[in-house]
Amino acid sequence: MGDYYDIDDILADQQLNVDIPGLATDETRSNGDELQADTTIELPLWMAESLAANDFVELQLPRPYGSRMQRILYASCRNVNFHALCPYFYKFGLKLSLALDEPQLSELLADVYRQRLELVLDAAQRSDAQNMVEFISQLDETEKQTYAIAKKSTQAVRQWQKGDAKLLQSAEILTCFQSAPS
Amino acid sequence: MLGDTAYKLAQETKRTQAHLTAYNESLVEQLCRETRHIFAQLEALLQKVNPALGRSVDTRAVAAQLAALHATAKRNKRCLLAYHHLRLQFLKSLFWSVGKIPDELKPQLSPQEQDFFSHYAVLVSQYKHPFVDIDLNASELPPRDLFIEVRVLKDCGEIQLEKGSLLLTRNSQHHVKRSDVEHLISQGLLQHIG
Repeated sequence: MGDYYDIDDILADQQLNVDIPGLATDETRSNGDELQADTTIELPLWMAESLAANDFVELQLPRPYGSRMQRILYASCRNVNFHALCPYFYKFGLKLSLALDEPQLSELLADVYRQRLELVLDAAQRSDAQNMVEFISQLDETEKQTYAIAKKSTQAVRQWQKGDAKLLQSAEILTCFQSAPS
Repeated sequence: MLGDTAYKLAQETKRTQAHLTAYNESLVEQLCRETRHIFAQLEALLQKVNPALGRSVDTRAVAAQLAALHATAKRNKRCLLAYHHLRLQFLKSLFWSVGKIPDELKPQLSPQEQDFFSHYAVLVSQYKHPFVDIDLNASELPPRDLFIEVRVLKDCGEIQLEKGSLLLTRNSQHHVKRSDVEHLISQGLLQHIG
């Protein structure tokens, strides 16, 4: 699932660890200490997934996706700070809902995304960008990307309306390592 | 903890998206070493369960270990590949938009990456060879005028135009043929003002 080279996909795998009760397995770790059966540990998803695939462990939802958080999201998702909760809230949530076979989680995420999308697009069209900094800092990575795209297109429309869209620009890639030309 | 080095590299890759940082050779090497170490551990574990030796071990516990180590090795590989892939993507798009490595970028690249860039340039020029009449690097914006007004942002010496040569000194303005200076604009040396 996802592009093998996609860095966001890779980072999403590393998010908050999944709680794992090690059921009926003496799982030995590389450093030599043994984990007894029925203990609960946290592992990154990429490792948990491959262990769960062979029934060495049983997965549980981590706290930011637990039933308490789900109730909060049902009530109102507009003021939740996703960046603090998990910077890849949607991507990771989607992977979780597949790994744990929890279809209602992905439905909830889709619904939350739709509700927050309105705010994101609204913010992208406002001209007082400075006031939006706090709002932007609370977005999850997926929302931030959406915001960047929306902002770019808003700027493109404004530029087109002013009529100076035909000027040749220096390559966008140069901004990656240069400050603005003096 | 297994996989921490890979995570460090993945985070650096993420930062690279916005701002190309220097090639992190030590981290890459550390990750390669770690992966080789994991491979040695895997081999040792496999020896343990070898039925020919007839030792009784808990195969299920060994299997769990194998799965964890294998996942880590795969994860390390993926992080390494993603890091290099993103940097090469960057170099390729740099080639198409600017055409050369700017001087301030050179120290950020590993010698292999500089090699890649020049080999890529050779490949592209071979590809372009059959279509001499078409400039594949030309701007995708359709031109409105044949001639444009430009301001010089950085001294770039004398350039050869179709008719004679032109000295570009900083802050001077010129009325020139668009196709002559398109590449200088995309390199950020000239500014298009009308």
